[in-house]
Amino acid sequence: MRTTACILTLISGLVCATAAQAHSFPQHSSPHVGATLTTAPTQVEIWFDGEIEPVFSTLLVKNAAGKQVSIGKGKVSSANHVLLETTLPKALTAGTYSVYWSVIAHDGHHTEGHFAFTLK
Amino acid sequence: MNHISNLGQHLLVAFVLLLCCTGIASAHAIAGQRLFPSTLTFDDPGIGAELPIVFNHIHADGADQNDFDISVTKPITPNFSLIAGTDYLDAPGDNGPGTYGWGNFTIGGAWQVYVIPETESIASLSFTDSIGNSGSRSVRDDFSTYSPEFDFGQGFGMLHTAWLRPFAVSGAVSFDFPTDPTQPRVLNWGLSLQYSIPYLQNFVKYVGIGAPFNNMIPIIELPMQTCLDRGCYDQTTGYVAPGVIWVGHYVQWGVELEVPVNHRTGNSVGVLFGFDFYLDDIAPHSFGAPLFG
Repeated sequence: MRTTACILTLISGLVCATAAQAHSFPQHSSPHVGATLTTAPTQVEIWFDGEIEPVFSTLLVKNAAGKQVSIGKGKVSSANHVLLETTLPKALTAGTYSVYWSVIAHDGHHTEGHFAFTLK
Repeated sequence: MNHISNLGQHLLVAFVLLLCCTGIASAHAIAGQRLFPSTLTFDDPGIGAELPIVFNHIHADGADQNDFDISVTKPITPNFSLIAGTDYLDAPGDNGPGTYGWGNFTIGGAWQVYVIPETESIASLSFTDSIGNSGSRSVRDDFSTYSPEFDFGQGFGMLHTAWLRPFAVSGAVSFDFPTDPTQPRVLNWGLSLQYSIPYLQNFVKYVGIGAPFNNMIPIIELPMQTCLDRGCYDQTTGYVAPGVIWVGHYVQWGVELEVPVNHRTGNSVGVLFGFDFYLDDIAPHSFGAPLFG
């Protein structure tokens, strides 16, 4: 009888399903996290460990004053759905910049994070 | 009649667990940028769909003991999951017949109490029922044990000192209340200190660590037990378990040593080896998804 109760409880948890919750985390980036650069980058790129949704994924770069310097909200590469990228202006001045990313994996789970790089 | 009464009790527990479903959520144990891996000696603070399997080998009580522990977590709502599990004990015995068989079957529920992404804080509450006489005759307990538990995780990502940010702690506190009045009540308390290389390279500073080490989390766990009454009052046993956990997109694996903290615990060093399958990534549209919400 007790085993029956256990099985009933387990089965009640196994049947059916609705939405999903998985996650994507960065694998590497350019510039590297925490890097100190002597040449101004023209792009920031982040490669994730799973495919991400183009519509809901964003990549912003802000200067030390918190003002956005990247152009647009970033985009998922059309050729590679694990790559999130954004364009930087040519006249990027010396300073510390913060990169903010927010992605939705193909199966619906949201992850976000941020890191910095410095331009000398 | 007694059987029907027992069945009713366990169904009532399951029903109450199903009723307590509200609000917040996350898959695995993720709080903001922080992923807390499944610890091998106590529960992690997440409630996502997963299938942890832990193999434990140790020489204790004069004989080798091999314990194979398996459980499964199934989300019912975004912040509530059901848990079911058991273990298989194989103790060959040095000079005589060994002991082997399935331990009692455990069911329960876990609630995600809070997830605070900004501070990398996460916690859950769970309640499990180890059902008496549900395992093999040679191994099972003939009484049930009810265990409320609090699990938490805290990342250090908000610290100003960069090299400290990959650190995190997680812990668990639970009480075992056996239904047999001759059995002691037990306080279980565990703590882990972990240093996340993925966190270091993805959020603090890339230092050029490549695969497979870039996904590793060195960890020290301290699973402890303190007896609360009935002949063993205030006696504490436990282990220091240093090791490493490798975290992938669908699965993690880990290996740890088990070093007894005192003579009461034992004199031999054991080893733990564990897998945890992330079912919400492996089967995101079926078993890994919540039934509701």
